[in-house]
Amino acid sequence: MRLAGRTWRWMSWLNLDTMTWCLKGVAAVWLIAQIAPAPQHVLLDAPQTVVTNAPQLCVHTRLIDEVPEFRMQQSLRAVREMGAGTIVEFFPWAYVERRPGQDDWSQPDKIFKHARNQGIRVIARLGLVPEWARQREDGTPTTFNELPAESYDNFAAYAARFTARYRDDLAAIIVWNEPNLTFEWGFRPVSPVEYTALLAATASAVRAAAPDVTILAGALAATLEPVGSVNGLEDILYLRGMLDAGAAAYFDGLAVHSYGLRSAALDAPARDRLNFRRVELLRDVLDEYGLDEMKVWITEFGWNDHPRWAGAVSPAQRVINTLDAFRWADAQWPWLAAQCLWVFRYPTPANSYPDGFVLATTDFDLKPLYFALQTYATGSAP
Amino acid sequence: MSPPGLIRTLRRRSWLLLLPVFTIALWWAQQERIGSVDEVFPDGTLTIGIDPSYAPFGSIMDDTFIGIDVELGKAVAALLGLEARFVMVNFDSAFDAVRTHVADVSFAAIRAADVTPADVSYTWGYLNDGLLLISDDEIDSGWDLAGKHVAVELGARGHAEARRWSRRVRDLTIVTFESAELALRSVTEFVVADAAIVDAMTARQYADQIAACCHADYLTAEFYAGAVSADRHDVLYHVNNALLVLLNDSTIDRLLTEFIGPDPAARAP
Repeated sequence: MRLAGRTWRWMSWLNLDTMTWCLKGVAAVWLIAQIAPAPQHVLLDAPQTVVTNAPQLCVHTRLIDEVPEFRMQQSLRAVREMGAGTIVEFFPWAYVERRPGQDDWSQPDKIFKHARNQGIRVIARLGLVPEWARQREDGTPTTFNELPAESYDNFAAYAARFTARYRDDLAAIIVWNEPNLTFEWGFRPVSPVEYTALLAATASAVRAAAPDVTILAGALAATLEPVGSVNGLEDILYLRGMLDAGAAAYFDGLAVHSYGLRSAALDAPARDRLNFRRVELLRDVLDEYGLDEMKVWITEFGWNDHPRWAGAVSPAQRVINTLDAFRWADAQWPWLAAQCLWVFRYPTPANSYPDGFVLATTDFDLKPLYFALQTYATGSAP
Repeated sequence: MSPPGLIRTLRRRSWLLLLPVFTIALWWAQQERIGSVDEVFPDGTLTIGIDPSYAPFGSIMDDTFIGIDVELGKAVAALLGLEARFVMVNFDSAFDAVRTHVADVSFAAIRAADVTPADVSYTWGYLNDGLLLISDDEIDSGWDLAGKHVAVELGARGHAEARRWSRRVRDLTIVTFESAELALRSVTEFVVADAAIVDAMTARQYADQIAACCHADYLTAEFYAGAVSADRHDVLYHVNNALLVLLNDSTIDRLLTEFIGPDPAARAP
C-alpha cells in the first residue's frame, strides 16, 4: 500500500501542465544552445610553397600560446607571403608532458599542420621543464628553466619523441635556449660542461629516433659577462668551454642570437662589443676547433624601435639595419644556414618595449618593415 | 489554470514575490558608492608615478621632477585640494606602481593601447599623439591624396598609415625619409612632396612653419593617458573629473604648448 501511495504521488506530478513545462524547458535549452557560437573549423589552404629570393630569411613566431587556431594559420600565411620559408618556434616540454609519460601533442600538431600547409619548415626550440622533472628533495622552489642532471634523460626522451613525430617538417631542433645566461639555466651558475652533458644525452636519443634531423647547440646569448658573473658567461668563453668538454660530437650546427641593439648592422665586431656582426667571432671559434664545415644558424636577431627603450633605434634605422644585415649575410657569410628575426607577432601585446620587435601587431597590423622584407625577398610588396 | 486556482497558487507561493525585491536589494547593496575626495584620499595627498627618463613628459633638474606629467599631476592634485607627491617609476613599472597601490595614478607618458592591460584603467586622454596630415590647401583629407607624393618617416607609424591610404586612393606615391622632421620639412621647406604624414609630437614642434604654408588635420587619434588601478574606481572618478576640468579650461592645452608646441590642427591656416 505504501508503495502504491508513493507511486500515486509521483504520478500526480506527471500531469499535462508538468509535461508542458518540461517540454518548454527542453525547447529553451535547445534554443540557447543554438545561440552559442559554433566551434570554429579552420579549413586548410591549398598546399602552398614559399616563393623567395632569400632562402635564409626566417622569422621567430610565437604560436604555441595562440588560442584560436585561425590565428596560427593567419600568422603562417603572412610569414609565407613575406618570403620566409622557415620559422623558429618554441615547443615547451612542460606543455606536452605535464604528467610523466602522458604526452599532449594537440598544440604542436596544429602548428605543424599549418606550417606544412604553407610550405614552411620549422626550427623547433625545446626547453621549459615540467614541475615533476625539477623537484628537489629538500622541497625548495625551482624555476621552469631548472633541469637537474637526473632529468637529462627525461628531457632527451621528450626531444626524441618530438623529433620522431615531426621529423619530416623540421629544419632543425635547438637544444635549450641561451644556456650561457643564469636566468635560462634555472638561476644556477652557468656551466658549459653541464650543458655539454645535456647535449650529449639529447643528441644520442634524437639520433636514435630520427638520424636525419639537424641538432643545433645553444642558442648562445650575446653577452659580455666575465667568468664568475652572477648573470652568465660571455658567449665566446662559453662556446670554447663547450668545445673543450667535447660538445662538437653532439651537434650539427651552432645556434646564436645576435641582436643589433643601437649599433648599425655593418659595425665591425669586437670582443668587448655587442652588435650584429659579433657572430663572426663565434665563427672564428668554430674554425679554431677545426669545425670549418659547421653552419651557424642565427635563431634570434633584430632591432627594436620602441620609443621608450634605451636599447632601441628609430623606426627608419630599424628598417635600414635589418635590410643591411640580410644583404651583408647573403654576401659575406656562406657559412650561415638561417637568419631568423625576432619576432613576427605576439599573441597578446607586451605593453612594453618588446612590442618594438614585432613585424605584425597582435591584431595583424603589418609594420612597414614587413613590407620592406617582402620586397627584399620576393621583389615586390602589395 | 482557472483564476481561483491561480490566486490559491499565488497565496501559497507568495514568498516568490519577494524574490525580485531581494534581487534588487542585493544589486543595490553591491553598487559601489564613490566617496568624497576626503574619504578617498584620507591623508590629503595624491601620489603620482612619474617616469623622469622621458622628456619633455618627465625629467629631473636640480633634484626636482619637471615636465608635462609633473605639471599635470600638480594641477590635478590642486584641483582636488590635495598635495601632490611624486614617486619615480620607469616605463615598465608605471602600471605596477598603480596595481600595487604605490601610486594612486601614473602619469608617465603612457600611450593608451587598444588592449587595456589587466588590472589597470586609463584616465581621460590628455594628449592626442595621432598622425597628422600636413598639406597645402589643395588637400583637405586623405581622400585627396590620389596622384600625390606623401612624405613619411621610413618604418614609422606615418609610413604604415600612408600604406593604408595607398590602398584607398589611386597613384599615391610614398616618399620615405630617415626622420619625421625631414618628412615634414620636405613639405614645409623643400617642397618636394605634396603632403606629409607625421606624428603630432613632431608636428607640434614645427607648428609655426606648418602655419606659414600649410594646414594640418588629424588622420588618427592616439592618446596619452594616466593609469589607475582597476580596483580604484573612486580614484579614477576623481582624477577624471579633475582632468575634464583641466581639458575644458585649456590648462592642459597651455601645458602642451609650453613644453612641446601648439597643436597645428587647432590653428587657422
